[in-house]
Amino acid sequence: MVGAETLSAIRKVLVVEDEIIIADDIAMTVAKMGFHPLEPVFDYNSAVNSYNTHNPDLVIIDIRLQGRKTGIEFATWIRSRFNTPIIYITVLGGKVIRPQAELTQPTAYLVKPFINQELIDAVSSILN
Amino acid sequence: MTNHLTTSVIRYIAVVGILVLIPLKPFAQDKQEAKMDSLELIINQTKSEDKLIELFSAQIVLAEQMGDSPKVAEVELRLAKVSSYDGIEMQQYAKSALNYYRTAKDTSNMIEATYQMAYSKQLQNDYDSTLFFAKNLVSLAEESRDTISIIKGRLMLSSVYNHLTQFPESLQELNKSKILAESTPDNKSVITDILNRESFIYYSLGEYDKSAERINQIIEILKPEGDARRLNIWSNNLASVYSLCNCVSFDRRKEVLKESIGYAKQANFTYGKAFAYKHLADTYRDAREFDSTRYYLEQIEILLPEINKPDFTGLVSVAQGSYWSYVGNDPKAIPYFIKGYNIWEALGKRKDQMDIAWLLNDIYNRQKDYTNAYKYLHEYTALRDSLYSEEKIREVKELELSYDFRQKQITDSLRNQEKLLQSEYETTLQKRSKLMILLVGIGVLIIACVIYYSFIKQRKLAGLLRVKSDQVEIELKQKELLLTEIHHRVKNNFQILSSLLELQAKGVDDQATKDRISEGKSRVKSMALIHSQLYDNEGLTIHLAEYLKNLINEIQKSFEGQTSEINMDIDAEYTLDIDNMVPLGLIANELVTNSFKYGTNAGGQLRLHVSLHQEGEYNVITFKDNGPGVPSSFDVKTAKSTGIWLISRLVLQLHGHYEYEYNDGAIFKIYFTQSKFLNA
Repeated sequence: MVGAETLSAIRKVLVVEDEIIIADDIAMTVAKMGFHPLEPVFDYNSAVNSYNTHNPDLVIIDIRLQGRKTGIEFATWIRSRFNTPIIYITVLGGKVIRPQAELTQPTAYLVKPFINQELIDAVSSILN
Repeated sequence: MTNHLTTSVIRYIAVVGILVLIPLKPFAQDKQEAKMDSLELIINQTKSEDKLIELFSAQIVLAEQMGDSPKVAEVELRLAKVSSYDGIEMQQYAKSALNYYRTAKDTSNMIEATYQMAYSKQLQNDYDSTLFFAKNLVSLAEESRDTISIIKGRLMLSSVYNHLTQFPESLQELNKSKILAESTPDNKSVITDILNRESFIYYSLGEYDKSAERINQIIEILKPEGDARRLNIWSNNLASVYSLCNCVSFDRRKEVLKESIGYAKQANFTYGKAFAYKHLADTYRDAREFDSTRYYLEQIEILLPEINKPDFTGLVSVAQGSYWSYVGNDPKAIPYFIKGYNIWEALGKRKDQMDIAWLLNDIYNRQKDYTNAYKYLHEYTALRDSLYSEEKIREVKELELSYDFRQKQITDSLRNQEKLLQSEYETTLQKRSKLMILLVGIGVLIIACVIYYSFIKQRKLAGLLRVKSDQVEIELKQKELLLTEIHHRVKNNFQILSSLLELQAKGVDDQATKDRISEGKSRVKSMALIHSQLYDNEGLTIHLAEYLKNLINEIQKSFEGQTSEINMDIDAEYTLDIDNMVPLGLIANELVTNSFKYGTNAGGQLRLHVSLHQEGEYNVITFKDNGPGVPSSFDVKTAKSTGIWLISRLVLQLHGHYEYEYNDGAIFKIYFTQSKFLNA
């Protein structure tokens, strides 16, 4: 049971991003900060599965995903059940998308291209 | 003109036919038959009686030559039917035909021929013979139960008895005909005709109530057919008979005439309406209701210009004169009487003229205008004298011709009147058709206006659409311009990235770091290639073979002095969408670069083979070189940031995996799927 306590002490971060290079970059940054990045997922269904399996402490979501469903839809799915904090990362700074995203009450909204420090600040303000 | 021409042509054909026919006589019988048939054809298309007689005569000549007696008789009977001018020719042909059919015992044709015989005799005023043949006809028809012929015979008998002033006999025949006609179908016109004859006989006999009764029956027959015009005429006749019989109330007379006026209005028949007004005025006068009399006379005056018939105008003028004289206003009566007098004089109706002359004489006497009184007395005497002497001569003549002549005249005048009415009816029809044409013209005009209006509207709309489409085109051009600009900037940004990395490398001495930066530049280059191919392609798909060719060329450039033999086995048409192309491009970049870097450590030429094939749900790209392969100590999990680690990550994004083996060179197989919407 000690092992389980130890495991639960490490904060888990789920990265939902359709470009694996970016996902891995974010995951490595998160790992360096001492948190546990889950294996990145590229689409809505995988994201829901991963969430149900690992129950992460933070979700970092790209709005554009593989497939028809968007990151906002995944965030909406989360919001209908949990209060897990959400960070959006997206190239879409558009007028239409932003208000939709705001409805899911994200903690941060990073616009690509972002620098590592921005991400580190956002993550640490949530998990520390 | 055309009709005249046609008949001339027909006559010509007939004459030529006869001329040709005579010399042909000794030749073939069937030629004559053909001739006969062609004559028959012409006859069927001919209407003129004269021409028909000519053609039938030709047929008789032909039939006689052929010795075809039945045909001769048949044509003779037909000829008898069309020769109606005098009875002599008709009698001749009918007699000949009758003789033939009597010997041949052909009863139905005998009936026909007998009828023609009777008719020919009637036309010649030979009434005894007419009676003989008509009676023959009736008995023949009765034998063969030919009801229609019986009726025809009896009507002829009745007509002859009329001429002989034997009215009881005539009525008897009519009655028998009526009983027979009642049992035949479609008998309305026959019965109407019989009733008409009966009413006329009773009228002549002064039995006005019976005459009126028949007219009433005629009206009852006509009513369901709704022929307003004829109903008006017969109602007027009825009113006229009622005015003589004194057998019905004034109210009944008014009722009949008001109905008559209704019919006239319905048929748009002015003359009939005016006649009804005239009878109505008479009725009111008889009933001593003078205001109404004057009202209806005035109504007629309004209609007179439209009717424009002098004899009717004369009749109305006399009625007006009588009315004013009757109500004691002689000065007003005089102009009307003079008008009537002049009209009768112009029409040669001396008896009527004489009557008015007497009336005018009387009025002028009362007015103490003796000059005029004398003038009209003189006229009256002169007219009476001439009429008297004429009448004497006529009386003698009448004794000779028997009383029927006058009857015939009356009958004829009645027929003429009917014809007159018919012609008037036709002019009304013409007027109506003119009106129709006018209405149609107006209709066409309206339609044209509507079409013109909608055309204008259409044009306006088209103009608006053109402006809109111009706007859209301008916007499209702007977007295209924007896209070109963005493409340009993206390419430029790739170049900036590459240059930044190059600058980074300039300040570094460490070869390992330089290599890393060079790898980064290569990866940027592989992505820039996708972008430029995308720009050339103007779609969101990339041709894989073309891309790989370009990529390998680019990599080749950075390995100077290295010779290579590239072998590619990929369908030139195979395409990938951009989402898959980016990771696949990076993978290819890693593998090809590796081959160039390590594939030739044996010192020889690089041989690279790239191929694509399908394996179940996966597409598989195989890269094979002739190098030493990956060192056995290599572990992907610990070698992060190396090319192979990158490949292992990128294949995940492609929902695939990779396989490595060594067989005379390194073999990498990249398994990937193209399905874009995995969770759609």
